[in-house]
Amino acid sequence: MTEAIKLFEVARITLRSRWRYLWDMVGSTLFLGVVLFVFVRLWTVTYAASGGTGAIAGFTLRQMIWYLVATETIIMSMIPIHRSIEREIKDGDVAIRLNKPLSFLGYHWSVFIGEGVLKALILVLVGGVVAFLMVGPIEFSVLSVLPLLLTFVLTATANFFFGALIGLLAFWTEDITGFYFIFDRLKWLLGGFLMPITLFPEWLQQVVVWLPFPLMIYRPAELAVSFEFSKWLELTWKQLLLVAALWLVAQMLYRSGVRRLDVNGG
Amino acid sequence: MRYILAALRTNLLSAFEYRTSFLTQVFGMMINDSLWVSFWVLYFERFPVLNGWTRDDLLVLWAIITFSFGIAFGLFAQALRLSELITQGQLDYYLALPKNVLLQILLGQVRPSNLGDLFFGPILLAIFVPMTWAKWGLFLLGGTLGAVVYLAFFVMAGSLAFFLGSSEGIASGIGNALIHFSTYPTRIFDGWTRVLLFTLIPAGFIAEIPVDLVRSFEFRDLALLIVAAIGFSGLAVAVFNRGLARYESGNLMSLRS
Repeated sequence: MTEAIKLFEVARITLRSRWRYLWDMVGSTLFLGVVLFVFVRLWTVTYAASGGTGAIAGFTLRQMIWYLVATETIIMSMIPIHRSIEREIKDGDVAIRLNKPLSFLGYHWSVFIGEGVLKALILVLVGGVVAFLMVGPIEFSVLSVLPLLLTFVLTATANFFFGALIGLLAFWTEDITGFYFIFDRLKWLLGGFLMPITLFPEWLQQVVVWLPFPLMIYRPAELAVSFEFSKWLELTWKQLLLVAALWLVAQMLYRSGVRRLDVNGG
Repeated sequence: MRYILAALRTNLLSAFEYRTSFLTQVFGMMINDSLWVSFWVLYFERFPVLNGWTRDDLLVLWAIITFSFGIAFGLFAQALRLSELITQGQLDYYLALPKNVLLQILLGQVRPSNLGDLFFGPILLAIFVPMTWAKWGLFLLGGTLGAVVYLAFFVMAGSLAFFLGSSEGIASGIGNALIHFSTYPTRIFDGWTRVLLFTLIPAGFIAEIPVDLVRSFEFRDLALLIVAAIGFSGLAVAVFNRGLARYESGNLMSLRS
């Protein structure tokens, strides 16, 4: 319990400290406007060429744009946690955290969530305004706000552990850039970051259904544009299982890495 | 020219000293590019034609923009840091050197990850797109001229720091906008957006005209691209020099190895 309170406090302090630079954060999210503008043009042309305004793979044009607002929010709200962890391992700063009464991964998770929640709120606001102006609103129930907030935290947590796993490889390798590009971009592509996985060829849809990536991007984003309580329940228990599995692997990797840690000087 | 080649050679050798890191970054970026291209392959699997463009056209587009980006920011990587160098008063070092200031800044660093882009473009074409020797020539020429436009734009964006003070956020914001626009077929845009893409955010000269040159050569396109490359680089040099005249030393007390 005390561990949970400490983690909550770290997240709260992170959120408060980032709040001081709110306008800087708002400015840095304006790029989302450019991204969405390009997406709106791409999908408008695509839908027009496909015969008009009907649904493609279960998404109307409007839902498609709001889906992309959701995927961009998930991805752009995340700080590059793999870099922070890699830097701490390379610089030896990881040793400073060893004697602190708070777990290494727990501390980073709290910072990740604290900043992520604030960034996500700004991104939803900026992306929402752009999408509203360009394609109009979608159906949205106020009752889905709380469940979606929980889904966001679970989604961010799964993405955190995924990034942390890549960062922890720095215990064994000189440079994690290659691993990052392979795993992170695979997550983007097969997780449905740039387009819903229902647009993939049938054979690929059969493959990705067995991968963790859709639980980290596609399913939460799809839930945000067409919320149903039964879908939320199903997604939640699957995400909980995924988070538990990733946490377990990350813990093992961390403990094994710390055992081979050599830190010189101070 | 001899100076440029010698500086590039030294920078490349220096970066290659950290061999594992160098190779990891190069291959990492090539994988990154491959996965972006995979997105488009999946897209064209579902929608075979996009405003007259097919999958092969998109592959040519990605080959050209990665090649251009690789030349511009793999070999002349410091263009990406221009705003930061100006704001922090770090131009002092270059002012004391005997060659052209802007040239020396641009030649200050190579970036291995972007060299991955440089290699990716030709490899993509060689494997997936049927090419003739003439098309290879046009690819190299169009890609190089596109790189000049990329560089000129980033020099202008970075030079804003001479006039606005700390403007790294703005410089990277408009730089990212150019990169983002240039990774999509510009034919999906119309009206004023197209005007914008051939003036203020010149993605059309990077992503559209070079691709048209390779698809079906027209002398008019080539002439337009050459004029744009000369025009934008002339403008960039003028803006940089005008800004440099306003530059005040940072009195930075540090040694640069």
